This record gives sequence, structure tokens and C-alpha cells, in this order.
Amino acid sequence: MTAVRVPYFQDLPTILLTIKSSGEAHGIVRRLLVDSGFTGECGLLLSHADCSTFRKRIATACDVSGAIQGVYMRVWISCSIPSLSFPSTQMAIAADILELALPDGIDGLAGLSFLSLFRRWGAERDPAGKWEFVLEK
Amino acid sequence: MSTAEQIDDDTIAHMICTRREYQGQRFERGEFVGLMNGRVIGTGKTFEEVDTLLLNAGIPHGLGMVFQVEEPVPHVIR
Repeated sequence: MTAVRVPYFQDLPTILLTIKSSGEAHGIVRRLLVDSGFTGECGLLLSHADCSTFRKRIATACDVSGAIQGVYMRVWISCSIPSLSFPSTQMAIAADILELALPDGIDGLAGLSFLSLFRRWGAERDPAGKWEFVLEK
Repeated sequence: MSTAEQIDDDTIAHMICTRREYQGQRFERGEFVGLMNGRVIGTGKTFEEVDTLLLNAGIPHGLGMVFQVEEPVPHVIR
């Protein structure tokens, strides 16, 4: 079993996801807020710009309700978390991140469907007592 | 791809997901479908299979739609 531990960012649980364009060996790292209240088939929400830049294919649009509402475009993206293996092509909702009023430095959301790809996930304290978010495969 | 073509593909995809049929072709629940400009390019068991079909049809990454045949699930962000 392999685990990745990400110290809380501005007192919030986040993960670091690497997103790749087709044919690129290296990608760009995005920090996503962990939000288990984000439910549905799709487990990622990214900015329109990232979805446009990194989309592998277009997916069907979907209905979203709650913090943002309406019909949103979805795309397939290639992504990874170094040292953890999981299906590398995931669907992401393309949204106006400003609507979500996320703190500076946070680029999107990782929801329940994404977290469910892993054997274990959750918040734990490190030996110094500081919170970190753990993903284990 | 123009916006109108994207909307058209999205409409066709939703039709396939709800009716499981399009222009005489039947679709199984759970299978992946590749669409481009209103035309079904191919189907497969995984995203990767259909992605390869699109590439073989000369449709590069960034273009073309891939979706899984299933009932639409609403998303909620609390």
C-alpha cells in the first residue's frame, strides 16, 4: 500500500493533481480542495481554461446544483498523482472557479467520485500534530 | 469544432443515453461511445478503446466526444 500525505493548505484539505496534455511527459500540478460534498459521476472540477487546455476529449454536459447551478460542460483529462496509480483518464466539470469563491492557490475541487478511486482517504494528524490529507492506494 | 456542433453532439449523446438507440444502432448500458459532428465513430468497453478509434479515424485529442451510455446523474456541490 502506498500513501500520499498533503499538509493542510490554509487550514483546508487539498490534493495535488498532475494534469497532462496529450503526448506530454510532464504535466502541470493543480491544487484541488477536497470536497466530499461534491457528489455525482464526475469527481473533478477545474477551470474552463484548464479544461480547454488539457482536454483529451469532450464528454457530455451535466446538471449541477448546489454551490453552482446549471448545465456544465465536461471533459476527459489525463491526470496522475506521482507514486499512486489510478485510472489516469478522468472526467472533469469545467466551471468558473470564481463562482465558487475558492481561496487563492486552489485551482478546483476533488469530489467523492474521485476519492472513491482510492482504498483509503481522510484527514490525519502528523507526528507534530498538524493536519494532513491522506490518499492511500 | 463549432459550438453548434458541440451542442449537437451533446444532444445526440443524451438521446443515446436515454433511448439506447440512434439511427438504427443499438447501444448497451455501460459501453463507451465516440461521436464527432453527429456521427458515431465507434463503441468500446473502455474510454481508451474509443479514444483509439477516434485517433484511428483521424480525430486528434482535443476534438471529438466520448461518453458512457448510462442514465444522467445530477451533480451536487454542497
